[in-house]
Amino acid sequence: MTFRTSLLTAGLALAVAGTAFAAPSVKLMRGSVDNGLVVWLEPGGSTVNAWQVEVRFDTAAGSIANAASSFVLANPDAWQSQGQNVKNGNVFAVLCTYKGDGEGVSTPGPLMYIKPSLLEGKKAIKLTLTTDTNISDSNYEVTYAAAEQSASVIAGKVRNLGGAANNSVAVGVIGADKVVAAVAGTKLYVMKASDLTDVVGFEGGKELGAASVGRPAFGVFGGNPVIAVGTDAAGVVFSTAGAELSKAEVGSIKTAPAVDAASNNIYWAVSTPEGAKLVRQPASGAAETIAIGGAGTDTTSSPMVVGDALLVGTTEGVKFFRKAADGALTPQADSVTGDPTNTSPVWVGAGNAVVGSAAGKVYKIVTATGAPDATVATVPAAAAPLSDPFFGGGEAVFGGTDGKLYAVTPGTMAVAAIDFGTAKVNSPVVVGAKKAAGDNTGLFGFVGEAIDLAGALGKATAATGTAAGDSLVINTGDGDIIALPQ
Amino acid sequence: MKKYLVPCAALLGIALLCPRADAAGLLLKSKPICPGSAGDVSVAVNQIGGSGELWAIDFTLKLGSGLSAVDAANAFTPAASTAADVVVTGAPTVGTGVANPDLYVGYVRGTTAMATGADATFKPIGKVRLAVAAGTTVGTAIDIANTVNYNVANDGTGSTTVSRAPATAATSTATAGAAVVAETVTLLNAITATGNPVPQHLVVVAKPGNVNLSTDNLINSGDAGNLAAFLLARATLTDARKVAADVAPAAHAATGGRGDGTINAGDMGLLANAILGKATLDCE
Repeated sequence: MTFRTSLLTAGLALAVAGTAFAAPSVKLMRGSVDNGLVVWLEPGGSTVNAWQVEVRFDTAAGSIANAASSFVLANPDAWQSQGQNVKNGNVFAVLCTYKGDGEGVSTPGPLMYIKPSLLEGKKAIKLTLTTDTNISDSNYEVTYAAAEQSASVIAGKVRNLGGAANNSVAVGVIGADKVVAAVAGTKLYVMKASDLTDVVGFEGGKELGAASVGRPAFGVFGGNPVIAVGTDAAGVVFSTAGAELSKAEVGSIKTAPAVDAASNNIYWAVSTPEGAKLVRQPASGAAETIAIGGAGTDTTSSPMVVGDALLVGTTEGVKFFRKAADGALTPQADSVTGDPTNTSPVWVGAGNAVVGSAAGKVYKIVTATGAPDATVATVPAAAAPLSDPFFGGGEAVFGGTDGKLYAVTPGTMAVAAIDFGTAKVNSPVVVGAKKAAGDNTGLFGFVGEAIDLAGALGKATAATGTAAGDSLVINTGDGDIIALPQ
Repeated sequence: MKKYLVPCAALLGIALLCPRADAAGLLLKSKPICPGSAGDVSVAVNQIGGSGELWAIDFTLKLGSGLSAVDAANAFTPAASTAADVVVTGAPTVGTGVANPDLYVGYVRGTTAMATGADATFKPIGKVRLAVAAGTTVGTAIDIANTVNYNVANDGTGSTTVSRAPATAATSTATAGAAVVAETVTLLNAITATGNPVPQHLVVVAKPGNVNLSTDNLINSGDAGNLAAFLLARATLTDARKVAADVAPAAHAATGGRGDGTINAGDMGLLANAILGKATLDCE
């Protein structure tokens, strides 16, 4: 049983246990070229004794050899292959019958792994399960696939963490390893970027006690390297060795915290029934909660600390604070932008940060004063709301709802639109001179080179670096972590 | 057709006067036929008595239940024939009485024997084309063996009406100039007694390979699962399912038509290939 299998089996078994009876079905789960695409069986209360899988694939991206080596039975003790065939140029069909002593298979699990080859220069191949796929139960009653479904096999690494993981990944360094942090369900996973295996101390993930949609953050806190992540109930801090250092049960945290090594504080933007709040958690001593909005307000961004300034977005606009050496905050006049903030601020140098508004405007905030610059960038109405920005290459790059990236030059606040796809683009990343992103339909990668991961993606793309061997990293709505070679 | 009836009946009538202990074996090979389609039931013989030369044979079939002959007057096609041969095929015009057969086939060779050999080896002698009415329930099994005698008028023996067995044969003798010898015919229930024999003289309403007799008549994992379970002795098959499962070889030299009368790995392999698109299993 593979790691993916062990994780998913438990969850899916629970789901099936609550179902009186349903038709058996199979589904595709994306995979890497190394391990192949997963064909997963859901018996649905039936006992399955034979199955035929037909998969159509993109011949412009790769091929599947007409050989037994193109697929690997996940459980050869249970299934006996009756053969496979690549026919009509692009349909891969496999037929297997039950060979064990019992009546068949009645528990969910992987049936097989399909292993295509990618054409040179291709980073992914899309496979589609056709409606000719069918499953036989122990009475030899046959159920056909109700609809087509697609998944991709990619050149990089894929790891499924189980359940939904549609938050944002973060990248950092622990020792000599470039690592990826992501939350799935109620667990924080920290993995080596090279192979997505667990970092020592984080084996099997760390229980957070609540679900999370917030992006983890790497930083130094109390002199130690840490990983901080917000959940629906608390802000939790782990050492990079996997020890839980603190858990501040302050409310729902939907964004990444700001870890300020200079003052040894972590700042959390918190949503509460009473309104938006900011929590300052010092390395020692009690946490301080600061109301930053009345009832009905909410936080909309991660806090950003630069120098002695802290900015955080709410549904009322940008809240601005002065930060003392010990991290204590003094509220300043709001950075009046005229409309609610919807993105996190990003430091763009030269004493400025930029932030996007719900109305599709990009404001430059002068951190020396907290006041917005008079020059405001505007994106098309269809592009709003914008994603959180990434600053790189001298530009603050936002993802647009209209499928484009918008690169804002801070000096002039000039806006350049860059085609990416057609769906809402999530937070981009800039790697050297290239921009990468993911969108709501599964398009992921560098502009002009993106691959189709066939499914919703997480809120942000990350990159482990710019060197050879570095990866673009993203997570998916169905719980996969993807590390795609750059 | 009636011009052939008298010589044919006369020849075969001799069988009644000269019964022999040895008998020709007659195989009416089981056949899956789709609803609304036609199919050829292969006819083969073995254990030919006398000198081992089969010169003439007649037999009858029981139809009904949605099964009928395609062009009854020409329903039988010999495997090989010459101009001197006589073929008489028809619905119950061959006689009068209370037990006319649904379909009668009489086949007399004029110059050479149609089959030779007293051994158990089968020799195909022809095929009978039958059709299943559209709408007939998939999985219906129709036994085409007629076990009831019927009456023949004017069979050339002087009797006005003679009760005839459902099938008879005429073989040669070892003596030149001697009359042929009439043989009784044993209708065979199986092609082989070993392995997993398939019951014979059945027409099953199904597509070949539709082992689970699914009403949609599609060939898929249900059929593979059912056949695999049978071969692994985890399940049994009804007679109808066995007929549908006997798909290999596609053309059996000994008996003619699809299937060799036993269910084995060859059937599994062909069925799997059909599901995978490497072979074809279709209605005719």
